[in-house]
Amino acid sequence: MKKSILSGFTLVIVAFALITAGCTSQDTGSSTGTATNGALEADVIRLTGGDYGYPQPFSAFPRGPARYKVNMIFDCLLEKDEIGLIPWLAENWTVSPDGREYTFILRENVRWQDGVAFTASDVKFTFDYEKEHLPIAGGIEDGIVDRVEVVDDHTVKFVLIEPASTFLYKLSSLMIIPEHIYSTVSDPATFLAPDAVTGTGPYRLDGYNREHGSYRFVANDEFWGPKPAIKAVEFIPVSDELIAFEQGQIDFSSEISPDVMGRFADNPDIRVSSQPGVWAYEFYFNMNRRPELNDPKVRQAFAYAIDRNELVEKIQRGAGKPGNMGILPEEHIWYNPDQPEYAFDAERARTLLESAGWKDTDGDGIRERDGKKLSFTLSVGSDEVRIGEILKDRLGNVGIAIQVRALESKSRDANLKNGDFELIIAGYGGWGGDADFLRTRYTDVTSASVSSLIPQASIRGYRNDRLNALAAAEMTELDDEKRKRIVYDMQTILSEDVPTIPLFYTTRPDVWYISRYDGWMNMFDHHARTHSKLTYLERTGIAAKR
Amino acid sequence: MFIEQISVIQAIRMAPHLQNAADRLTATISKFSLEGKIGLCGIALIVMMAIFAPLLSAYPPGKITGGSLELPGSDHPLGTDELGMDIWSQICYGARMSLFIGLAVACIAGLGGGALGILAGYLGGVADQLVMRTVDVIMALPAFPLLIVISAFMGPNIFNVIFVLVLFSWAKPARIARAQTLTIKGNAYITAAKNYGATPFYLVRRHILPEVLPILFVLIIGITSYAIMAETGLAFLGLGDPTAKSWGMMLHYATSFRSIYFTPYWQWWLIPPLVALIVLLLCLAFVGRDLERVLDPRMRQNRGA
Amino acid sequence: MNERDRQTIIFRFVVTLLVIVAINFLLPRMMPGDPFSTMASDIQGEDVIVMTEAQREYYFHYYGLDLPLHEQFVSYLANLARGDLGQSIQYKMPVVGVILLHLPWTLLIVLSATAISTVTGVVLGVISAWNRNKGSDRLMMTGLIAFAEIPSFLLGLILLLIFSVHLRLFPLAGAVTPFAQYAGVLDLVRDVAYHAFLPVLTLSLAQLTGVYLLTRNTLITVSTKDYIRTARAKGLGDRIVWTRHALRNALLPVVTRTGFVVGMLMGGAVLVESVFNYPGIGLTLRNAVVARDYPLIQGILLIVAVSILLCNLIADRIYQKLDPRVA
Repeated sequence: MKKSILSGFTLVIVAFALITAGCTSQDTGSSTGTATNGALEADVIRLTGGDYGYPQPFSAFPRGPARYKVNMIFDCLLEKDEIGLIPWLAENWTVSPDGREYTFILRENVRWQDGVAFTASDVKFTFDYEKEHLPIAGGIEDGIVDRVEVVDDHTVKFVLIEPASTFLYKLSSLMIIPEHIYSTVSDPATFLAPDAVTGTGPYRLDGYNREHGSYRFVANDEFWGPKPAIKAVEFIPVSDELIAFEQGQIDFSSEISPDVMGRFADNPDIRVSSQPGVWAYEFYFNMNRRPELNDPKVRQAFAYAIDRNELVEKIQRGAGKPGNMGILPEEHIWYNPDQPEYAFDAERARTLLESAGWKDTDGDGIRERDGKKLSFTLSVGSDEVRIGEILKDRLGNVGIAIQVRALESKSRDANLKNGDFELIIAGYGGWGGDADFLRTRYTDVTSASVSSLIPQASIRGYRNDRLNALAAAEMTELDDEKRKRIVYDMQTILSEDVPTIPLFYTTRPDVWYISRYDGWMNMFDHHARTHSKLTYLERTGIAAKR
Repeated sequence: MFIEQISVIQAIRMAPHLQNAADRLTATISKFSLEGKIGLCGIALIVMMAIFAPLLSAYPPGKITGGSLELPGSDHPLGTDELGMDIWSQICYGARMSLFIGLAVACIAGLGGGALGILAGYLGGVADQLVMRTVDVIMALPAFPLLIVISAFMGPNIFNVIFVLVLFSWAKPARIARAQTLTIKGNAYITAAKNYGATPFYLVRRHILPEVLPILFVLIIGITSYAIMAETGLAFLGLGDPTAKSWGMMLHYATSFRSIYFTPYWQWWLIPPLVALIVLLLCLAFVGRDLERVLDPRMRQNRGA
Repeated sequence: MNERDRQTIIFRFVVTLLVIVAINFLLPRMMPGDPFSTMASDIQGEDVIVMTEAQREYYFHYYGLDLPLHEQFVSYLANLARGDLGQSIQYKMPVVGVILLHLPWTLLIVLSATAISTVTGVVLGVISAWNRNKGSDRLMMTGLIAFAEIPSFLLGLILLLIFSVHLRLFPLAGAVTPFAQYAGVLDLVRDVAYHAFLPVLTLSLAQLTGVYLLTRNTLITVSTKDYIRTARAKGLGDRIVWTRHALRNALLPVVTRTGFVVGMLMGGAVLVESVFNYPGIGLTLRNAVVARDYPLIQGILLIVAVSILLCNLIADRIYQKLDPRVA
C-alpha cells in the first residue's frame, strides 16, 4: 500500500510533465511575415499595459512608456518622424546668425482639449513653470536658455545663453502645458484632477486604472493636425505576452521571445519586424580605480576577448547586433561605417596583453605584471548576471580573472554614479538620440554656462584631448553637415581608444496583426514603435512620410 | 505504539555517553516508517551528490561547454542552458548550494536559538525576559514581506540571504528549548544534583541537552526545508544571489527565460531543478515527521494545548 | 486567560508595533540607491529617464529626504499619529490611497482561500481521524503532506500552465476584465470570481494540509482524553461524542491557526500574486521595493504588521469564546 503512494506521486509528476508537454510547440527560429499592407485605421487597438502613473508631465513615472503616454495628450513644438525633426506646434522657425535666438511661428487654430485657444504665452509659461516644477522628462536644463519672449500671440522667441547644436532636438521633447490650468497649480506632481491631462494632442485620456495599470486614450476629434488613425488606444494588463497576443487580446507586442517567432511563420496576418538597435548594454572600465586599464592595449584586448556575437546569440537569442567600439549603432543617422571592427579573436587579445607586459608567469591561468594580477570585480545588476557569466568565461580564456558581483539594480546604479566599481555593466536606451551624447558621456567638455549637465555615465579616468577638442566644436556647430563630419571623427577616435565597450544593441522583434492595424513606425532615435506619436496618426500633411 | 516510543525516549535518555550515539541512531531509524526510510535514502543520495559533484559531472557548472540549449545527449546528460552550460553539473553543484543554504540557516538558527532558549530558561530573570520578548516580537513580525525588504536592502548575496533567513527562524527553537529547560529545571533530580554541587555546565550537558537536542534536531529538519523553500521564493522574485547556483536560482533563470513554456527547453531546463527541489523537500518532510514521531511524541500532543 | 496573559498580549502588541515603525523608518533609508538616481534600466528595452543633479536635488527637497534623519523621523511619527502615511513617490498619491486600491484584492483572495482551506481541511481531518490508521487515512495524509511540500508559487505556476495556458479555462492575469461593461452586480461578481479562482485555489491548496493535519491530530489526541472516555462510558453514541465533545475541542487550535494564517498570508501571498500578476498588496510591496518608494514600503509593512497583530488578537478572542475552560 505504501509503495502505491510513492508510485502515485511519481505518476503525478509524470502526468504533469505530459500535460504541460501538450502545450509546448516545437517550433523555434524566427521568420518574417510576408504580407502586403494592412489596415491603416482602426477602431480600437489594445497594447500591453502596466501602471506608469497619471499621464501628465509631472506625475507620470520617470520611464519611457510613461513619457510617451503623456506625449499622446500633449504636443511639443517639434515632433520626430523616421528621418528627423518635423515642425509640429511650431509651423516654422528662424535662427539668428549668432545662433542665440530662435524665433518660432506657432500654428494658428490650435485649441486645448477644453476649447481654450493655444497661444505663445503657453509656451513661455511652460518654460518658466518647469524651471520651478520639474517635469519627469523633457524639461530643458538650466544654463541653455536665457529667456523666452512672447512676440505676439503666435510668435515666441527663445534666447539662448550661447549657441547649442542640440537645442531643437531638446525642444522636441518639451511638452507644452496649458497656462490657464497649470498657472494656479502649486504642486503639479500631485495634481491628479481630470483637467490635468488637458493637452493640444491627438488623444484624450478616457480612462485610467492605477491598480490594474490600464489606460484608455480616445481620438481627439478637434485635433488641429493629421487625423488620428485609431479611434481608441487601450493599454491593458497582460501576464504572458505571447498568449495574450496569440489569443488576440493585444494587437501588438514587443515582448515575445525570438525563440517562438516560428509560431507566426505561417500566419500571413502577422508581421514580424525587428526594432532598430538603439538600446544597448555598455561595459565600463574604471581607470581611476584600476590604473592598469588606462592602457588602450588592455582595453582593446577586452574588446577582442569578448565574443559579442555570442552574447547576441545566447543572451538575446539572436535579437541583437554586436556593439561597435565607435559607440553609435548602425541605425544611428550619423553612424560612421569606417571604423575598426574588433571581431572576436582570443589570440589577438592574448598577443595584445603580452605586448602590454601582462604574462602568466606562475602558470595559474591569470596574467600578472610586477606581481599584480590581472584580476577584476565585475559588478552587474541582477538581470545582467548571465552576461557576466559569459564574460567571466571568455575573459578567463585569455588570462583575465573576473569575479562577478551581482547587485540589485538600484545599488548598481548608485555604484555606477559614484564610480564605486572596477568593471560594471549597465543597459539603457537612447543610443539613437542626438550624437551629442558622445560628448556628454565620453568627454568632460561642458560649456561654462552648462554646468549642471552631468555626464550620463561615468567614464572614469579616460581623457583624450583630440576627442575633447572635437566635442567642443560639435557642441556649438549649427551646420548639420559639418557637425556630422565631426561626429564621424569622434567615432573613429573612440573606436581606437575603446574607453568603454558597447556589448550589444537589442533588436527585439515587434509583432502585430496587420489586419488590425499596420501603421506602426519608428521615430529616428527610438526603438519602440508604440512610443511614436505618428504611429497613431494618418500620415498626411506635416506627418506625411518623407 | 506510544509505549514503544516512550521506551525509545527513555533508552535515549539513559544512554549516558556519546559513543552510544550510533546505537541511538540505529534505534531511531529502526522506528521509521517506510516513507521516513525512503526520505532518509533520498537525503543521503542528495548529500552524496553534493559531496561528489566534481566526480559525478564532467564539467564545472560555470563553464561554457556546449551550444545554447542543447538537447540532452551523450555530451550533456541533461542538456545545456541558454549559455551553453551543462545542466547536470548545475544540478550536482546546485545540491551543494541548496543544502548549504538550508543547513546553514537551520544549524545557526536551530542551535543558536536553542542555546539562547536554554540560557534564558536556565538563567531566568532579565536574560529570560529579554530573549522571550525578542522572540515575541520576531514571531509577530510579517516575515515574508520583511524578507523581501531586507534582502533588497542587503543586496543579492548568499550570506545575506542566509542571515535574513536566520533572523526569522531562530525564535521558534529558542522558545521551545526554553520551555523544555524550564520543565526539566523543575524536576526534583535537578535540585538534588544541584545540592550535590553539580556545576551549571554539568547540569546542562548531562540533563538538559539530552532532552532538548532531539527536539532541536526535529526543528532543524523543519527549518532546513523552510530555508530551502524561502530561498527558492526569494530567487523566484529575483531577490536571491544570482551568482550562487542553487536549485532555486536555476528555477529563476529557467522561468525568467521568455516564453519558456512555449519552447521545448523547459523539459530539460526547468524540470530537473523542480523535481530535485520537490524530492528534497518531500524527503525532508518525511524524515522530519518520523523523527518527530519517534523522538518526541510530546511535541505533537503539546501543540494543541 | 488571566490578567497577566492579557498584559503580555498588549505589551507584545505595542512593542511589535514600535519595532515595525522603527524598522519601517530606518530600513528603506539605509538601502543603497535612492528613488531618483536611476542610471540604467532594470528592464531590457525600457528607457529610463536619467535625472540631472538639479532634478535630483529638487525631488530630495520635495520629499523632505534632505532633512537630518531625526527630523525626518519626528515628522514621520507626527504624520503617522494623524493617520497620514505620506505621499507615494512612485504613484504620486497618498500612500493610504495606494494601499486602499490594492488591499481589497489581497483580502479577497486571502480570506476566500482561508475559508475554503479551513472548511475543507477540517472536513478531511475529521474523515481521516475517523478512519485513523486505515488505508484511506494513510493515503490522504501522505498525499496531502506531499502537496504541502510544493512551494505555493510553484503550485500556482503548475495550475496556471494547466488551466490558463493549456485548457484556457481561466485568465492569465489581473483581477477583472479590463474596461469591462458590467450588466449588473452579479456580472461583476462573476468576473471577479473568475479572475480570483486560480489564485484562491493555489492558496487554498497550500493551506489545506496544515488545517487537515491539525484537525486530524488534535481529534486523535482528544479522543484519548478522559472526558471522551467518560462520555463514551456514559453510553453516548459515537457520533454525538465526536461532534459534541471531540470536534469542539479539536476546533480550538484550528481557530487560532486561522488567525495566524490570515495574518501570514497578508504578506505571504506576494509569490502567488506575482505568478498570477494579481494586483494585491504583496506585488505592490515588491514593486515599491524595486522603485525604492520609501513611504509606500513603510505604509505597506505597517498595514501588514497591524493586520497580523489584529488577526492574532481576534483569533485569541474567538478562542476565549469557544474554549469551555476559558469561558
